[in-house]
Amino acid sequence: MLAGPDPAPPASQRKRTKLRRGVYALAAPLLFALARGLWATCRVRVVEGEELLETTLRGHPTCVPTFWHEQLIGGAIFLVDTLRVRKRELAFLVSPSVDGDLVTSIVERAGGRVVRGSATRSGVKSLRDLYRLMRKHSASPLFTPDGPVGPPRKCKLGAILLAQLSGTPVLPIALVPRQAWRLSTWDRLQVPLPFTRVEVAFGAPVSVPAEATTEELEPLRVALEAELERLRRRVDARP
Amino acid sequence: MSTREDALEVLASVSKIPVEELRPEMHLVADLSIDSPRALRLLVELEDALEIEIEDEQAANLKTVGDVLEFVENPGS
Repeated sequence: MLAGPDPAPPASQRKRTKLRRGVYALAAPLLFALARGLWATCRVRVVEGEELLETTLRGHPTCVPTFWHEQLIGGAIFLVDTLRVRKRELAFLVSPSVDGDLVTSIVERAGGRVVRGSATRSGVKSLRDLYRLMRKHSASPLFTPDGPVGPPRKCKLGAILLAQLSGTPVLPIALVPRQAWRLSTWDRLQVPLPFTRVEVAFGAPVSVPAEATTEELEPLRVALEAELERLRRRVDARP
Repeated sequence: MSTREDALEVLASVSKIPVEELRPEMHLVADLSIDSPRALRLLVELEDALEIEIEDEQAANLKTVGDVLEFVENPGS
């Protein structure tokens, strides 16, 4: 009836050994402190659409914040903080793999809520679990709609489906550090350099009609992709 | 209400087809117009109403009304 994308990439073969669990238990607070410390040196400025965030949150208990996967590091910290000052929570979908244990530990330290699941292996179940978290805790699920494996800057349907199911809008966001390391991952993940300027833009929220069919969702997916790219280019092009 | 009746109510609510008109051989997509968004809602409502969990692999095997009824009556099999 409904299944996740196929074929799924190979699952991680790493085991939950006692040694690995010990290393991760030590690494999680260190990585968290490193990310927090690095972020604290950055000068973050919203350059477009701050009022869209406010009006979206005023009108709904939750929303579905989205940005490209390459912006995940800065974006996740920014959004956890941004929602926390507004007494809202952010939820993350984290892989059930052993490496996901480390990510879960870091996210929970940051104050985020976690749903363990795979967007490729159990995508539909993960959407339902995120939806239940939205209902139970009023947590807004962070979505990187080109993740977890790309292609980069190509939007998939998950954020739109979750917005439709939950009756909350998708909030497109771009977050661009002026200077960043770009890792050699599929998305060329950005790690903001210390003391850099980080600019953020919010786009127009995308509302999804409850009764929209698959065909009617496609233009919304295309519009979200275009808005995420417009915002990224807009922030990227600033002097 | 029985599990079967609960499931039929959910199917009727999501597909907008009255319970009396639902038949086991009816195809979820072709006859009930349950596309991806409706399928997602159907799974959530079945899980909530019947307090069961449906894995993606199991959901992928639900093709007809009869498949759904058989599954909810024996979710562990």
